[in-house]
Amino acid sequence: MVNMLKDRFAQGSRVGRNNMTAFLFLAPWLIGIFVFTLWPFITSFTMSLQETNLFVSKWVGLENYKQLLSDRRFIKSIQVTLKFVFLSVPLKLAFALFVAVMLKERFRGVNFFRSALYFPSLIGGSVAVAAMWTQLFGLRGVINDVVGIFGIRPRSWIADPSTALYTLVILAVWQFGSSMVIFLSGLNNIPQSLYEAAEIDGASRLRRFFHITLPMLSPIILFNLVLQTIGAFQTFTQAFIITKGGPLNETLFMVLYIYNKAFTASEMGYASALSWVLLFIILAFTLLILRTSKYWVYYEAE
Amino acid sequence: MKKFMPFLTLFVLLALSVSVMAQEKVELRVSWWGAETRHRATLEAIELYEQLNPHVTIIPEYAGFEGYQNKLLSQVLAGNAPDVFTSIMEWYPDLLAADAMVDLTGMIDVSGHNPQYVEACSYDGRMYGVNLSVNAMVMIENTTLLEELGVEPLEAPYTWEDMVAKWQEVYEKSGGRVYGAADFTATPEGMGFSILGYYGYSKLGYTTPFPFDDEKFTIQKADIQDFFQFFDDMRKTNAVAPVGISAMNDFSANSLLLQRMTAYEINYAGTYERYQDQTTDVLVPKPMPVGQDGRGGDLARPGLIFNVAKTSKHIEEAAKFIDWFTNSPEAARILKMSRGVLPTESQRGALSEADLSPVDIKVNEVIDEIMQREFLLAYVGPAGNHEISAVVLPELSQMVGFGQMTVEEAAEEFMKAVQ
Amino acid sequence: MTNQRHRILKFIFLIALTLIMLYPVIWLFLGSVKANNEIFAGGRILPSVWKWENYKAGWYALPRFTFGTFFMNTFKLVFFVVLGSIVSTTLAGYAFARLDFPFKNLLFTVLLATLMLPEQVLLVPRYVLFSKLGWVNSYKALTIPAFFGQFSGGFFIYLMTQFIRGIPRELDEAAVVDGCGTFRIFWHVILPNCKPVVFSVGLFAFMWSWNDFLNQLLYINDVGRFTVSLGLRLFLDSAAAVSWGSLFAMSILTLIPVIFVFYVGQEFLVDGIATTGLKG
Repeated sequence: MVNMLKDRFAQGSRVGRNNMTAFLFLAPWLIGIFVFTLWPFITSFTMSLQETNLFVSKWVGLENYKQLLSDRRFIKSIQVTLKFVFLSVPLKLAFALFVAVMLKERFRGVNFFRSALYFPSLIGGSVAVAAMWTQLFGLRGVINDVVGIFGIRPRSWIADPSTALYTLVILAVWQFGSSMVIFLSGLNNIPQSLYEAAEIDGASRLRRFFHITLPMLSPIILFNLVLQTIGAFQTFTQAFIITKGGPLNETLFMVLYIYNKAFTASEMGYASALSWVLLFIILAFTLLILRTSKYWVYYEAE
Repeated sequence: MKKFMPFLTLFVLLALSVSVMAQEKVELRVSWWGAETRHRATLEAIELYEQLNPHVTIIPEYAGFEGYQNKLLSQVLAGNAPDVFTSIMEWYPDLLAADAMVDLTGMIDVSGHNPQYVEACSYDGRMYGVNLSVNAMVMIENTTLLEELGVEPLEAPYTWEDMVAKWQEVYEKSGGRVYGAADFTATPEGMGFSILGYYGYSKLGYTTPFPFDDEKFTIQKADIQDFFQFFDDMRKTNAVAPVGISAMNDFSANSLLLQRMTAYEINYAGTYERYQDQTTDVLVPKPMPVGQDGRGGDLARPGLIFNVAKTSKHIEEAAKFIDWFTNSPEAARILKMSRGVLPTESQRGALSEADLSPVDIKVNEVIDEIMQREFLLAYVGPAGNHEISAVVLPELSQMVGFGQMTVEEAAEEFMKAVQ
Repeated sequence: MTNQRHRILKFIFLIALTLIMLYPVIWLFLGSVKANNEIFAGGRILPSVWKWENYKAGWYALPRFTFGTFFMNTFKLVFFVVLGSIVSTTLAGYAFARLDFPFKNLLFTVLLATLMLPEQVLLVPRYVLFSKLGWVNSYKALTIPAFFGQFSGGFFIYLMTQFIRGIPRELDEAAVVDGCGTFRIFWHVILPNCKPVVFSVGLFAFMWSWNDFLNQLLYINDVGRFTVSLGLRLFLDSAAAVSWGSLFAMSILTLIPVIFVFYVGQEFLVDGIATTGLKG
């Protein structure tokens, strides 16, 4: 089969053949895009131009997009989401990298530590997590017991608007496992010879980290940065099951607001418009990161 | 005559068998949400129904509550909703817009229901659903804690002023450790809006629909301002807990009542078992306060509703099943209180005390007590009112509580949102 | 000497870190053996009576199916999602990393853009689409998209791409000299060096479809086909009492297969790139 396909394109130029082969490799994904993803995307876009509750629709053009400019909750949700992204992504990545570097080498018990530290990430966004987190940061929770030692008065960290968002940031950092796994696989692709050479030159641990590990790992850091940023912008479940957007809308993430508009207020059209705005915000940030990446990402292969 | 007998018998037998054969096999999809007690009871009831009606096969589709609404709306849009599905009043505007429900008027015997509940499940005179449980707001009291603090329990009927005084007494007698109750207006998706409805009839003296009828909001700015003020005053006197504690009050991990931060909680009777199940303290459900001349504000608000999908191919069979489910004593004896207090008199009468747990008995008692007062009609309300109750009211109340808005500003914002 | 001290310090630090990180999980576990009226009441950390029967009660909570059914169902479902994801995204990742083709940048943007529209507004249109295909109440809607790179495809393909770009090009070039075509390079050079990333993709596909909830809820009606994630929600009503002990017990059980896969499979993660020669 594969040979047959190859023969068909064999007459073309080297580059031309490469083109066609590339599309063979991409075929499953491309077909998937057209069959499974394109239609829901188009539908959500056309809905964003309507006033609709899914069942009764009225064409309103750009009205939804105009409306969101003066929507105070929407603006609040952008602020909350940005704050969350800027806090949680760097913290999570730094922590994941730190742990991955420690667990890179083989030593007694390393498999246990890797698995144990990965454990929290497995729990996902279930009801059990919600109960656990609410309890932990609640008035009678263990966090209050711990800070009580330092003389800090107990409070409901989740009900207090000045701390609620941070509890969700901590939850995000706590579930750092996916990034750690990706860092681990990246770290092991750094040739050991580089470290050996540096050690002979007498480079300190810190120097080796900054001069070998970081640059060699930069493509993976870029990947994690992009994907965690996209993921953080779309944070929903944690707020949905734990804080419901409150208190004082301090945890009203954009996607939570979109969900409320879509399913509580039955304004599917408006929710779709919000979603497309979110898409462009995320796209802008992603492209910005990718643009800057040529200054700090090092590809050995190119 | 005698020689006709065999023919007659034969004829009757033939007619019978034809009629049995004519009763074609029917498959009914029935969906509901709940926890394991309800699943067990419902499945058992379905088995009995299948035995009684051998031509019917019921395909049960049950799940937890989470996501049920999303699934139902998707199914309705795609035209494959279950023949019988469960809903709550909050979803009626969407389901009506989708023309998703069959008008069941005349197809189901509803004579045993409280007529107000029948009307609450209807819209424009069409009966789109049948109530499955009689529910009402109750005042849940932590008797153990009150005893420890040396506070006398509330005795119904009591007034709003009695309630406030009692809550303050709790705070004072406990030396500030325990508040009377949580600030329910500030809890997301919480009880604030339900309490507002009750407050309008009971304390503000409304005799017309409040805070909305089926088309529009009827609430006035003065009403909502009064309501915000009432809770603001209680916050100031520590009758209710400050928002910084109340804002995330729920009925499990963050429940102030369970953590003994408060001694009272207002919620629907259907939740009482959940509270009691999570604490060793003794909790007692009591009727809500009354206003002048003993006015209550209890609404005949269906807890759960069974509807038949417009797209169903077996509408009559679906209606027959609901009829049996809500009227027959044998169904009642299986279902017990798995959906709260049973909807019809015949079913309530079928249960003896032996069928019920101590918690069920307490719920029955308090609902009986409330049913002796007058049940007022609950309205579906205008489209989008769910957002007002779940999002707007708690948000504004939090803003007042955290000092970011005056009571008057919040009232103004609220009126803007409902218009 | 300092190395030795460094190692001990590191060990102590790791133990402390692990304890802190696992505290919530321990809380969850202790909750799974507590009576319902002890879990949220505050106070004691340890249960007054160890109620191991919560595990049995949870397993047999429903009359017609046990959690055993839900586990088997989930394994079936997850197997196909993992397989589909690995196959489709490895292929696409290789194309993005090593081959030139028209609209490459545009397609890459599309790839990322598919991750950027919130799931919540796609839910309903996608349901309508899949129900037109007749895929409702089967695993088709949950597995077939994975074979077409549509189960977190953007994430996986980008991960593959980024990883393959890190494989030294000299390996490809050596293969070209040996007369290998694109497919053989992919098969003999790239794939053998991709073990860590293939494992990562498999692990994430496993974990995310194991934990996925809303999609599974939408597409599976029949409780006999329920997954563990749906099974856990069967304990939760909007108002009625919740058997937290059973719920927590089953939550703990559902974690075990995933942590087992991780524990066993982590060798692949740290399997570095072979730097010399061609395998096979």
